[in-house]
Amino acid sequence: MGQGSADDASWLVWIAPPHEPYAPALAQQGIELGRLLVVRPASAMEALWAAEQALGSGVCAAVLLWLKGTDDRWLRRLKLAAEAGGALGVLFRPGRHRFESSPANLRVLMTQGERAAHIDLLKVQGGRPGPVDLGGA
Amino acid sequence: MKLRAKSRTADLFAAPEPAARLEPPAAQCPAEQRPAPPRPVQTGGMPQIAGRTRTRQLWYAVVFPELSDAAHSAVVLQRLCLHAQTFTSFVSSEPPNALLLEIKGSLKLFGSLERLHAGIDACWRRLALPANSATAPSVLAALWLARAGHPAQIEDLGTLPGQLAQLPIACTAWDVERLQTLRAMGVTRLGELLRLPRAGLARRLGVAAAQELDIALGRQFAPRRAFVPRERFRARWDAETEIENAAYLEKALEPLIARCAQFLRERQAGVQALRLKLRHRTGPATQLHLGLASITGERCRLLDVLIQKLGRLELRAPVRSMELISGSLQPLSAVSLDVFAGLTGTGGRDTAPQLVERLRARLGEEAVYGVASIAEHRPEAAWRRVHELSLAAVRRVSEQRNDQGSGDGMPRPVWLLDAPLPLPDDLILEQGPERIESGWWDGRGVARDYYVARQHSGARQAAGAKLWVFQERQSKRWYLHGMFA
Repeated sequence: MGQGSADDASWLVWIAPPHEPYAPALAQQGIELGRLLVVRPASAMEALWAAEQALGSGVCAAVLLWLKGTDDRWLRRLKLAAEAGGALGVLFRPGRHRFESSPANLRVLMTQGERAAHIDLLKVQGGRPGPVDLGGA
Repeated sequence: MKLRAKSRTADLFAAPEPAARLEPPAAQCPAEQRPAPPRPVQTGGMPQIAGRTRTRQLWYAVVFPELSDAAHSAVVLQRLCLHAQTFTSFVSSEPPNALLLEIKGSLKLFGSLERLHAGIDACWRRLALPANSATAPSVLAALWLARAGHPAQIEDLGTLPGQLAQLPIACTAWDVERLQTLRAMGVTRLGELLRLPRAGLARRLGVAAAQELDIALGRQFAPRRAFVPRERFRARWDAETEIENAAYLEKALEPLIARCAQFLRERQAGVQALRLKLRHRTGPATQLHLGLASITGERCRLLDVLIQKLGRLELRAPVRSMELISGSLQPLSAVSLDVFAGLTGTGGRDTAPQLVERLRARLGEEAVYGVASIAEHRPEAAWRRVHELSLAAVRRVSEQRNDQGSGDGMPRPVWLLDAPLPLPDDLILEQGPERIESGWWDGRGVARDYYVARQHSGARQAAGAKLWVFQERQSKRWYLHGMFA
């Protein structure tokens, strides 16, 4: 969470976050609030469009998008936009999408364990997928 | 008295307000009065001490005793300024009920001061507006004479003290307290006031009052804000045939936008709002309102936003003509030019305001916002949405961040619920309590103990998730208020 604010000339865009992002917490995490943009689209279609615009704009360091589901075609478009704009795109989806294919470079499954989060790397372009030990954080 | 000038640097004092320009007819500009930023063309830092080529000025002051209602008079004064501009280019309004005209440059045109003075007076008579006017070589002297109802026409600075001496002190419009101090001292006329030792005067009445006396006597000059009429861009385009397709409208819009951008460039101004009116053969016109994230005069940005908006529009009926109307013109200051230059990526194709505008044009104004934290104990009141993108907001927020950086011991959750949810009490408390008790004064008081907690694994959802919960101290009930990511 704490990354993304390091680049001095870039914005952070959160699209359709599940709850209201809480400004004091973000400030605690070191996110520069002045460069954070929250977008609340009315539909998934608009969310995807907004993500594509933000990714391709060249002013964003990272674009975080929360969605219930998408199709492959849109994922490809987002990937192209991210490459064109030089931005990091992160899409949060429910765990049930884990078996679908995706053009993303990195796919991560996060599950909540008894005491800590588990992370499984589902796909790593040019690397080896597998579980990650977070060291009980 | 020496008022020789080095250069005319009027534009250095351009005020940031939309409809006002400050001209410094002054050898001295008190710094505390005018912290105006320079215009972009002059890349100086601080406003410099302004000089003036004309060695003397002549001020015509007019007071309208019937204008007393402050809200109404502001509008009337604006209109009267327009009338006054027939006589001189430099008109300044003095709320609530006076106008000041610098008429030195107009003397030659009108032949003599008497004729000019009579000409301006006749203007008010035609408007059936009772007016007291006076002319003097200093701004305040003219204003004070007019307020006192002395229709004097003084051109010579030397006779000024004698002319002012008979005026009652009330004509200065100083506050009641000052005037009472003076009356207690036995001072009722300006002449008596001028005879008092200056140092003692400054001590008793304040430096500002002593300075005003200097200004009235022409020993010191005061810069004035010039009246600038409100301008808007307005252009109309009539279709040869009725247009049903929005794509054709876009084509027709391009030249209109180009003219608007040209108009703005000539005035070194920008707009923050635009209106497009589409007229149909029958029925009311379709109005499109556009808000921009920052002041701009750039053709591409204006066009970009309008086309986005047009793209979403469903035409009710074919369009016969359209009209583009700009919002009020705002000066493009150095600040508004540079704000986002530093914030955008170096090789980026867009700027941040452009992105925001594009998103807003399609998703709606309210759907795109920033967040800022506020120094406030109640968690739900410690943040707010920020809708305008401005450097000031960015700064304010980042300063706040620095303030908060180290102080808070207890963590805050990334997600805050709109309203706290009641919780069963099978929680594992991990951190806390942090007592928050605040807000009793505005009726939304809270008295809570906050904890960082985890839910038992048996729970249906969010098992093991890190939660931000609180126990209300009165009811002893538990609520969920946020979640850690």
